[in-house]
Amino acid sequence: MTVIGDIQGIITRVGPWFVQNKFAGAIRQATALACDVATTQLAAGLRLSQPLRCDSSALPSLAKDRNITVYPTESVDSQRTRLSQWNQLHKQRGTHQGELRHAAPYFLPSQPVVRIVHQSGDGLSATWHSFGTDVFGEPAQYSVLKMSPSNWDYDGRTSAWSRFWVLIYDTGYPSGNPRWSSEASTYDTAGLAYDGGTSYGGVSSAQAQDIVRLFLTWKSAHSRLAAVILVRPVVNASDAYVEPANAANYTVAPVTDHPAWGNWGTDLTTRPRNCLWLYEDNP
Amino acid sequence: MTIFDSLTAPTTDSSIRATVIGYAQAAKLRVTNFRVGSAAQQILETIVTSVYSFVQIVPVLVRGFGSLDTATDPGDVDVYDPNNAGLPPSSGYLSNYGRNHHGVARNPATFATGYVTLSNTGAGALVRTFFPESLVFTWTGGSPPNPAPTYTNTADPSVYTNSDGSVTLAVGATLTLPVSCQTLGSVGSAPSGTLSLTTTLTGATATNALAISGNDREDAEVYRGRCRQAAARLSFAGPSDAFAYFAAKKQDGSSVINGAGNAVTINRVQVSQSSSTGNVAGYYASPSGPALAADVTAANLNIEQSAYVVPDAITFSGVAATATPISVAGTVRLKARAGVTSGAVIAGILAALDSYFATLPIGGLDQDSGGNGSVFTSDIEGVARSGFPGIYDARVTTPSASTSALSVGHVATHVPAGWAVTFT
Repeated sequence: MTVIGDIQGIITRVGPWFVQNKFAGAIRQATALACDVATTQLAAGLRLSQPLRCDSSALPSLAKDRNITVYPTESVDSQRTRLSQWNQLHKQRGTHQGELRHAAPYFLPSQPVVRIVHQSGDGLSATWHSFGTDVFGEPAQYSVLKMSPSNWDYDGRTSAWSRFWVLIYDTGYPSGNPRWSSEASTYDTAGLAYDGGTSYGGVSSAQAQDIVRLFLTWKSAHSRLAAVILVRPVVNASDAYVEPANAANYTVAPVTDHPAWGNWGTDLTTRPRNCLWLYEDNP
Repeated sequence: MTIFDSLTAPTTDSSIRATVIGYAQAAKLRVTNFRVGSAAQQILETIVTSVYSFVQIVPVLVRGFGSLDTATDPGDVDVYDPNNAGLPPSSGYLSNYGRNHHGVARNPATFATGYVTLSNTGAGALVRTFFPESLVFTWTGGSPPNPAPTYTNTADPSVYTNSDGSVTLAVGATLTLPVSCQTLGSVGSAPSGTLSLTTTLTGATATNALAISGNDREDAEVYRGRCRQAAARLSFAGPSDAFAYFAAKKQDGSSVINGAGNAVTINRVQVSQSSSTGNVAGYYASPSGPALAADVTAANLNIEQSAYVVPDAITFSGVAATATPISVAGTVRLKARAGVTSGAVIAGILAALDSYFATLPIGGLDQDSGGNGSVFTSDIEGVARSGFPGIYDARVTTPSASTSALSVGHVATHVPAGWAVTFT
């Protein structure tokens, strides 16, 4: 069987003596080499439709075809992963699990815990969807926890029931998330919540925009992404644990008019210092 | 040039010659020192031509199998192959790519179909017996295209009831006949009351009480867009692309058919993006502006009852987009050969603008989170400039502002308001 790039080799081995002389042999080999280049290009061309094998210059085209937006601050690994999983991602598009899985490759090689929380329309319960792992190298897990009575009441507007909030936890790694660890040390050094407005606790504004778009493009049409919040480790007394489980040592937050945490939707001063709002759309 | 670009760009005869000669020169052959017409040169040229014949297929295959954007069907505009647009429309790489990768069929062009009422009631009328495809009707009323399309009566066992397949029309009787245009595409779409009988039958007249409609082949860009949206049909959670896709296509990738039996002509859909109370609004438009009422009904039926796109507890409303007429006037300057008339230039500009407005997104460009956008006057100038060869300057005087606002759910429609042509 002829293999790609072997036409020249085959041509060299076959043929009578009179096509082996210097002139005929060289022309023959030049011809074969041109054919080899063509077949190699054809093979590379066919690989353009394979996101895990193609040249990275084909990823934007693949992304367009597969209706998966790739982002400037996204790693090539993340782009390849999401493009190769396009069917699974589209199947879950619009679900909260799907939104979490769609965004997860952005943080590769780490898989920080990311949660989506929403409150029921009657205000009686809150549902927490979690995806990721606290342990580097462990497979990410998806879980759902429904808390009744509700432990998430952002601003008391239970009628606005189709809103959801995204919480990204940067607590699982000693040096912070590798995607922005180089800047993590700048967080709050001057007591500013937003580090002067150019970066958000080590997350650049470009990264923040792309993270938000990952959720905006993948949500259902009937829902509203109310906020994306980066949750940093609890260090100070004024920091808050934002966790779904109402367990010991964890503060359930926010709850409207909570004595400690107040109303996060309207009373901005009650927002804990370890939580950074990368995005908010809460009319 | 990226690797993607180099793999999809057409190969040229000269590049192959350079490659073969380069390899031969690397083997110390003096292949550029031939005597013109010598046997050696002829052998080399024969080889170059042979290799070129083989190698030029590679980028064609890569484009055809590589992506929606690089694949085309015969008859489509192809940036890599100027001759492709002139080929008779047929199924090719693009249709096959869309079917195999995305499960979406490209709508073919259809002959306009409808009904005429044949009245055998005039002076001198006789008993008439005729077969299918024996009568000719012509679009004569209103403003028919030039040349005016013609139509013929088509077979229908419920109409042609005689044992030999004919039908007999008594004096004083009328008969409704199915007809089909003899020209493919939307050019045969005639408004109501515009057809008349061309075949000479003394005492007989005919007209169409309802409009007659046919479709062009699905535009390549619209088809590519639907292929990209098609993956959204996998989800049962109501992503916006699912609403957009199912407004015109069914689960199996074929077209949604309206109550009149025609494929819907919806080519643009705007879906609201965010709601705090579980509401979704959809707006539909066709190439000419707001979608037809029959198409809106068919789209909503498909979305709500056939495809079940709308999750429980979600409120959906799908309506025709609202037309926002935009008057466009301006001036152009061009260099043209003798014989080119202002009328021809203006016709080219108007056709280009019609085509541009036919695909402008509902809500316009550069939309905010509420779906409100704009139409940019500079874009209109660019389109006008491309409307006729030789135009080197185009100025839009109306609209006078740099942008025209377009609200959510509104579709811009083109209103010609006059063009001045200056030949230089």
